[in-house]
Amino acid sequence: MSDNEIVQLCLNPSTREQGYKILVNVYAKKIYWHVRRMVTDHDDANDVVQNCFVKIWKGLPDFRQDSKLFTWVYRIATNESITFINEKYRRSSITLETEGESYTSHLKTDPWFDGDETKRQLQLAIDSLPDKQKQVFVMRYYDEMKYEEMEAILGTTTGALKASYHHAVKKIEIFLKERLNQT
Amino acid sequence: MEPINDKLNQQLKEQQLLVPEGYFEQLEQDIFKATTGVKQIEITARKQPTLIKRLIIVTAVAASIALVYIGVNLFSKDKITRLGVQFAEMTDAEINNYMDEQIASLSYDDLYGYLNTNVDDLSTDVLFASTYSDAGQIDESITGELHEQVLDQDVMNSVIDQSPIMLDETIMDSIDNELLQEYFNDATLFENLGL
Repeated sequence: MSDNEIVQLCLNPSTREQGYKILVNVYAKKIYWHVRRMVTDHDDANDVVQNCFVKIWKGLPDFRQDSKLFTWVYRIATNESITFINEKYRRSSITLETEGESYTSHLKTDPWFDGDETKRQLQLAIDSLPDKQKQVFVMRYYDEMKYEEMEAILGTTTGALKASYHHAVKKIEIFLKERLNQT
Repeated sequence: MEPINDKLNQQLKEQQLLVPEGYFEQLEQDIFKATTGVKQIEITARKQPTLIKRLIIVTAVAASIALVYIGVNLFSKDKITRLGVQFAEMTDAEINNYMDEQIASLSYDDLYGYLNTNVDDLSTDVLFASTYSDAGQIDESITGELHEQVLDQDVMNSVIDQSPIMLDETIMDSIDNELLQEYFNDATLFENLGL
């Protein structure tokens, strides 16, 4: 079923629940991975995804089709992830830069993280990126989104997105070189 | 995809994040549970108000605008602001003429009334009271200077101890030394002081 058909079902009060179930079925997994790559922790991602879909359900009657369903859903997920990350670090008064070692040891014991020391450092490198660069990196690299789609979701120009992606890759490379050369 | 470091590329592409088995089936159920009973935000079109209501609204808006306009003219555009604007546009000569005209237009009664009500802070008592904490004594700095240049210390002390006159430090500083000497050498001074 196309996004347009899902939207039509969702906008009709009599078929809204049916449309929503299809929407969840189509997007739950994609949104989970998008959020998971942003927040890293499985339990955190689980909470954020549920919040995203509650917001989607609440906003469905007012969805004006100014943007595509895909764009709208990803925008909600991205914003929820960023809000969650900022709130989490604000509450704990720490940053990834300062908690580096404890974060990598947390990943060692995380049952939902499978990777050696290199992969842990890699995850830390991604998580240490500024929000915007992290968003762009995750969307471009993992989700393999086109810049035009990212532009619609993040409300940033393609030029700025390309620049952010370039900076993110460079930072990750530098981070890894420093960390892996130390060990 | 832009070319990046090969090692990094290979590492990043490998999935290192895992989920519990059957998680996504459960996730859908959890999402439906979470949304059950959640009210949706439905923005319905507003009912059009009746003609009378619309008239009342228009009248009220017009009255509010009129009140705001009057208020702005009464309170915001005060005379000082207008005068400031006028001065900004005038030349120095025009300002001088303006000031002369304004001063000339003041009557004697106006000036007298103004001085009576505004010069309290400049009265002699207040000035002296703020300079000396102990009436009847002359500031030590003045006496020191006098001792060196004018008077014998004993005479000076007797003047200080008995003089009802309070001398202002700032006034004394501004007096030429020769004049001061002349003043104290004047025989009538001590007579006036009852010495």
